[in-house]
Amino acid sequence: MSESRSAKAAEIRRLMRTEGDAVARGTRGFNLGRYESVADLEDYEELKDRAREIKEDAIERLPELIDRLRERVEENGGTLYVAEDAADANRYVRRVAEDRGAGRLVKSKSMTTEELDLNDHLEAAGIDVVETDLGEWVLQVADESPSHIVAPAIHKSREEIAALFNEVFEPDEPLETAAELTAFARDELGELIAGADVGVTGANFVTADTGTIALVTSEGNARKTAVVPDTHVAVAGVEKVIPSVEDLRPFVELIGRSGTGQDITSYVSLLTPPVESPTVDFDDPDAPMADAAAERDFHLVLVDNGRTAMCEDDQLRETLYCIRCSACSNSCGNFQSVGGHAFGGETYSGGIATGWEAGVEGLDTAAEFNDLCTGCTRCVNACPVKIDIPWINTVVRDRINRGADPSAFDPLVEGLTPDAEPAGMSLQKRFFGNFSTVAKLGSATAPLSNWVANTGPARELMERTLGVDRRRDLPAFERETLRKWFDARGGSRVPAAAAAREAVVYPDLYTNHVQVDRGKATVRALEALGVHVRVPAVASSGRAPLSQGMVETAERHARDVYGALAEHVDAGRDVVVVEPSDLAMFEREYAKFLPETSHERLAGSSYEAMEYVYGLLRNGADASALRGAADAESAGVAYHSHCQQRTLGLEAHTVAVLEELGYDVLTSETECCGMAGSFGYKAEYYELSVDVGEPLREQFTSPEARGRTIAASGTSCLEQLESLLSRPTRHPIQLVAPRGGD
Amino acid sequence: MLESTPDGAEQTSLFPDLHVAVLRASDVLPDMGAAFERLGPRLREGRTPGANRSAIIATGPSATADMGALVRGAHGPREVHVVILEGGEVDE
Ligand code: SF4
Repeated sequence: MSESRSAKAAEIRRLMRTEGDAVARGTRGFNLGRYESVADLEDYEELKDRAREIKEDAIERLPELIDRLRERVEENGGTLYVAEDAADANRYVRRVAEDRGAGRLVKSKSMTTEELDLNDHLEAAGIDVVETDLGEWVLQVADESPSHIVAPAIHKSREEIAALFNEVFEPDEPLETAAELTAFARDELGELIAGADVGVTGANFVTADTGTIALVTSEGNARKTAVVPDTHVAVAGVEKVIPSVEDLRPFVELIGRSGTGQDITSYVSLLTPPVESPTVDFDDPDAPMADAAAERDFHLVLVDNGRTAMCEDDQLRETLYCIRCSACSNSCGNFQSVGGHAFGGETYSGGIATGWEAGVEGLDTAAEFNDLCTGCTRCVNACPVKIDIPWINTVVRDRINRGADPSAFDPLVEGLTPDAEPAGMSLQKRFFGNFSTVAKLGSATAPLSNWVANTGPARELMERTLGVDRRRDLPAFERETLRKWFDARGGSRVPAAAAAREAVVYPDLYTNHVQVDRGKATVRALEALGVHVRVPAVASSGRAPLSQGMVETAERHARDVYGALAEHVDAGRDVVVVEPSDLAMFEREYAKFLPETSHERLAGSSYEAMEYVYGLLRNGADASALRGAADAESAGVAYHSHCQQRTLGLEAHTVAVLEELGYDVLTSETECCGMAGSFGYKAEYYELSVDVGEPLREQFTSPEARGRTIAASGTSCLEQLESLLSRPTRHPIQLVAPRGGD
Repeated sequence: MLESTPDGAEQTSLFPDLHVAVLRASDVLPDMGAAFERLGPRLREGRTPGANRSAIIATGPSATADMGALVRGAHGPREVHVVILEGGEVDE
């Protein structure tokens, strides 16, 4: 393995060992909570649409909104300052603190001030800075950085926090329970807040019609930070401005549910500073508050720091809609295993961090962790503002590839990589991105190719040059591809004239070269239901290059695929896709590559194999023509749907068909199997991919799953399950297709 | 909904361990949508001096999960009781 790859693998291994368990417990709890909480929302989809609309509109006319906001804030008696970059913002806040003669400044949680490194800057000026959010305070005491955008100390267990406090503060009675730790922190921080001169808060939203800052919190520290000291500074990115108070509604309903699975947080503070509340004199607790003169000072600092440039960037703009709820972290298999210290940049973490870090810090920072997004899309439906987070990761990966050093060009791999990509990108990426060429060669020379590839020296070479982990079994290429088999049997057994429908089975790369049996089963199942089938020559979907960030190559594939399938669609034939990640390409990414009508026609005619069977059965086809549980090795099935298939809402169709045929189906509870295409093959990520698959392994080896046939829809999932369970796996279509003699 | 008032209504509901909120049944709103319909005009017109321009939507005791488990009673009250007065008037 190359040095940088083994260093990366070692760092991931270390974080999985030291922080992985706490992160997994926390994020999986939040993620489950999200499912439960949004299930109660009748208008969940409408709220997300509305939230998205508000953000799109606000970012579109941001300068105008900031002007209006400035008027309001000034009318209210405060000051609005737009800071160009971090240094500018830090300077301004320091000046406010110094003018106030501040000895101590208290803060409530704000990722934006983390982005600015505000604390360091103020401390260098001799100001005592105290974080009052309990999680942030733990990190301040431990001198660590946040590993999650909402629960910053998620990587620390209660035991670790107790040990830390006992060591640092030496309380009379050692602290142990969460309640004791909380009470201790409350008392310590309560005093520090009481004696503070300036309070700095963030803002989840700022309304331009009133100059109100909305803070979504549960601890109550933000309320104290804002109203106890007489000087309040709110720091927020410019993208936090929305037009009106009423626009807050969808966000308030969505943010807690999407993030931590709370229907609503304890407090949503709508502060229009300077607030009317009197200041409290803690030295004279008997004095009525109402007598205190409310001489308050308020500064709103809106931070640009790269955001205006993001507004202009057609691909990164979406990032600015992000309300930092953390759903994309919690729903991510990789994040659940490693947390934000690996899956994150300078400040932000999780799937959307790629967009934030690319925009705020630059590509180099994003490049450090961007590979951890495998494009599984489990975050897509979870995002309350409907950001296409995997797409942002792909685009940034493409930019990173293009920025790479072209002198790393290798003529040997070039032969295998007929792509349109820059010469400097990593060999590993090019190898996986051009898997179609590898597969063609593999089948043409099978079984020799499989034998050679699996020899020790070959695996070592592959690991060293391409970063393919030698612990992973390689796909075994079939000499007879699906298309060859289909031609050899003389095409479809159902004549077109007698057919109820006509369909094209799309010979995706894996079904055609590796998992040929599931292709054959698809043909047989469709024919059993009266469908005339064709298996024409069609280019690979472009999924492989896209996953490596090779956008231009993927786009070329999209055009080729459409070119080959258009005549079939025109002739009224349905397109049946076995590999869910390829169907997801047709449905999602092709929207970005093809003209709108072309995309709609192709996507509208394409079906996942079991979805198609489901549709045929619903339209009157005879289920008894298929094979049922009575004729199976086991009537029990443990089924893991594919991540992208679930994002498309197509898991239920497979389960329904299997159940109709008498199978008893146990479905997996995991977001992603961890394999995610090429990811699990990569030497630096192999162990992580196995760790992500761990909950799935546990569930499918539990007593509940004993004796069941293991089924999965995606190639990667089948490979991952086979290696995790050391048991054979099937595609569901193989359970329902009549046994074939051909 | 707790307004920020010059006599410190907001702090009163924040610092003690126990917070008892008393409100009229007629002030109970069906959902968040209705709350924001009411809040919008209020916060906007509130820009005249002397009116209250800030409010807290409080839904229960303060809480945290930052110490490894959910704990009620973080920086704010540990216990919250809401007393709803049906029919009668509240003394202002
Ligand atoms: S990208 Fe979406 S899901 Fe991720 S933190 Fe932002 S709003 Fe939440």
